[in-house]
Amino acid sequence: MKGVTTILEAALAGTIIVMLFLYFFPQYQAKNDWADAILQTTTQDILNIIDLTGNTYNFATNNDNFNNFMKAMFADNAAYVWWKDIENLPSGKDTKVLYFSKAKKATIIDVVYEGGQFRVYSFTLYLGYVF
Amino acid sequence: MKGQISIEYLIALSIFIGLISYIYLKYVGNISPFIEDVIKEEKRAEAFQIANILVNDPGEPVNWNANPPIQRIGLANESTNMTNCITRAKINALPSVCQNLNNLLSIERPFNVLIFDVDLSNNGRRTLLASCMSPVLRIDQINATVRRYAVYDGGRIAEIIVQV
Repeated sequence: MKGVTTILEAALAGTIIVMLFLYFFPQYQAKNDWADAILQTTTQDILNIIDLTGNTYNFATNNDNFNNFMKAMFADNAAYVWWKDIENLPSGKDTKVLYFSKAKKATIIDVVYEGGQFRVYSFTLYLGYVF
Repeated sequence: MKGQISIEYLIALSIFIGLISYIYLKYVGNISPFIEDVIKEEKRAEAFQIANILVNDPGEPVNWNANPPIQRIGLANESTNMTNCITRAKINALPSVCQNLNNLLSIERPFNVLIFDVDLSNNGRRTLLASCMSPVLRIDQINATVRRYAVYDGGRIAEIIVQV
């Protein structure tokens, strides 16, 4: 059986080469964080607009106005979901946190005269996707 | 038959050459998608850069729409110096510099810029305010789209779309 050893050696060497190749050069796949970065930027943009249009207190205390605004902003993208978290404001109303969602958040601090005193409250906007 | 190559040796050599060829082709096949992804990555970065300059930079000079020569353009309101705050006068002046937009933003690739008004009282209906469309950029060549939002005219909302 002359040559059998050579064939076995070649097959074994080939198997080892393929395994090493797959280990050192795995199937190429590119990963980046652009989706997260864009989502974070959009979240901050929307919160800046809420502030610049003078609607921070309005949206902190009125869920309907807040939801109508967000629906209008993302009228062409139904994939987005959003909610808000208001802290240190008695009349502030949170909206329901969606389970199974991935979101980015942005926070703004505002001052309002309510109940006979100045209140410093935070408005946190969450914007993301359901998965 | 001393000195002749045996059939077993030829088979082993064929297997070896086949494996080397397989590894080479597998490796070469990775290069093309890798280059495509690098180009897409550059396009995303440039789209983000253009959108960010337009939204948050007033340009050079800061009142470039009324005081040429223009060194760089941006739509930000120089008098408020706030982020996401742009001016209607600069939006209106944008189409007049479309021909020279690549030089003004130091971007070599062709790109499109579209600015829409967002009408909150009408379910967010978009109305085109200004646009700069590259004559050489086809729709199927667009790999990156960035949307930014800003306020203009003291309370109206604009959507800025950059496509590269």
